[in-house]
Amino acid sequence: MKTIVHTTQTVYRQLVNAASRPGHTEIITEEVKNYSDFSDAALLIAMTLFDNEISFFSRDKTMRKELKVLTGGIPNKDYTTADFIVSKEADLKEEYFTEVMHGILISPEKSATLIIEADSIGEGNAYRLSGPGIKDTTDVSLSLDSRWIELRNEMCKEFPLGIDLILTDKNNGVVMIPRTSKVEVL
Amino acid sequence: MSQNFAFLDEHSKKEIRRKTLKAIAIPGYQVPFASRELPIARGWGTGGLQLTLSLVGKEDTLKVIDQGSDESVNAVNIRNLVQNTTGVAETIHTDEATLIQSRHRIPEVPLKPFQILVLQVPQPEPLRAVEVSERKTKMLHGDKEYSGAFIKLFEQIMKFGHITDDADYPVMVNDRYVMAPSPIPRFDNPKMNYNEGLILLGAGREKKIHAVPPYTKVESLAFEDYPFEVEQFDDKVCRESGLSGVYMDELQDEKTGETYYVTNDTSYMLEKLNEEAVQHAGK
Repeated sequence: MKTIVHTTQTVYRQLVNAASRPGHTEIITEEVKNYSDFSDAALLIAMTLFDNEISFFSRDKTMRKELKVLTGGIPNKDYTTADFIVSKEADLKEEYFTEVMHGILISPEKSATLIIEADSIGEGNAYRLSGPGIKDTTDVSLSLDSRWIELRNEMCKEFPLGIDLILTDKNNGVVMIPRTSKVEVL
Repeated sequence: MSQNFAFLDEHSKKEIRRKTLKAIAIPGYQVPFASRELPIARGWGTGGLQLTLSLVGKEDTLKVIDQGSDESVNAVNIRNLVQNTTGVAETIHTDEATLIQSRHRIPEVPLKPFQILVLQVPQPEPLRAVEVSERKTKMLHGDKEYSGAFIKLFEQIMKFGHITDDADYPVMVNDRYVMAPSPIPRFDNPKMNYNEGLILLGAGREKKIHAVPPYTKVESLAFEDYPFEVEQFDDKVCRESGLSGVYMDELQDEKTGETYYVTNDTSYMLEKLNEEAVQHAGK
């Protein structure tokens, strides 16, 4: 019997693969009843990681409600104190990069993770990634505007402080860009 | 009796999973986590076990080793617990396993991409010997102030003429964090440098998770005039298999009192012996 326990385990392992190999695309094939207009991948990732110990910020009303009901995660109106930011590419704001938690030197893990639903992974602007988890370099194409990546780079300049990005798209692809990755706009 | 898949409840797993992803994003940094109660005592591999339980799925093939052996009590008990609550397949062969939990050894067979090695860590803080306060060691890590770690090695050189840390030899990860690699022998330290698999380290009693992602620089601490050296077994030959250049146990023959050496990684030795037997039969 396949239950949510196995679904989230599968999704988590794909997240581990994506986190330890930045730029590597995982396709999430698990199924879920999805009433939001985010991809199944974005919803499943939230269902895998969220519970009542974390707070999340999302401007999308339906998604906010879904996440609250499905995970028990605490909706946070203030993005500067939220553990997770859940946003569509089109709804991104500069503040979601510059004003969110990016850790403190004794506890760099107290930082925000951005779950961004991009229009496309595999098409769009080309980026070159290097750093831990990447053999030499790896190229990835994302619909994400280089403006956002430059803001992210600015926030991750002072390693170990920074933010981690989880990108998803309509085809349930997932790419992670942890703070260790050096991202060049090609 | 019914038991949740992989023993832990889902809330505990979620917390461990969130912290593990942070650990991967900050290589070498010790992320605090809640560390749940388990049917084995803290200090007996609970950190590693919690990581394994949070990771394991039906498709996995599990290998558990203790000091290089798949058959010691600790390894067998941990493997039984995971298997009884998940029903996953087990193996002794490193290259067949998707998930490897290990106490105090990195297998001789190099890790492959997408393999995960979980190490059990008794003391995750490399600065604990020089600073007892957790608050202060956290600040030292924040400032990248690692004189203490070097002084510890320096004092060993002053007292004994060489570095005496044989296991749990401190390493610098990604040029940022000094990390305790768990009590693996120095021999295994170079295996972590730019290795292809993911290494996760869990300390259950000390409630810390840290990680070394694939293709990450891991450098053992050393001085210009006292470079890092691994244990040398070049002139030793395994009595059972004739292997050399691997990590060996030094044993004594009870009857003759003679000292002899045996390959520590038993599954590797078995694979080599089987290969030899097949070749021999072929002739």
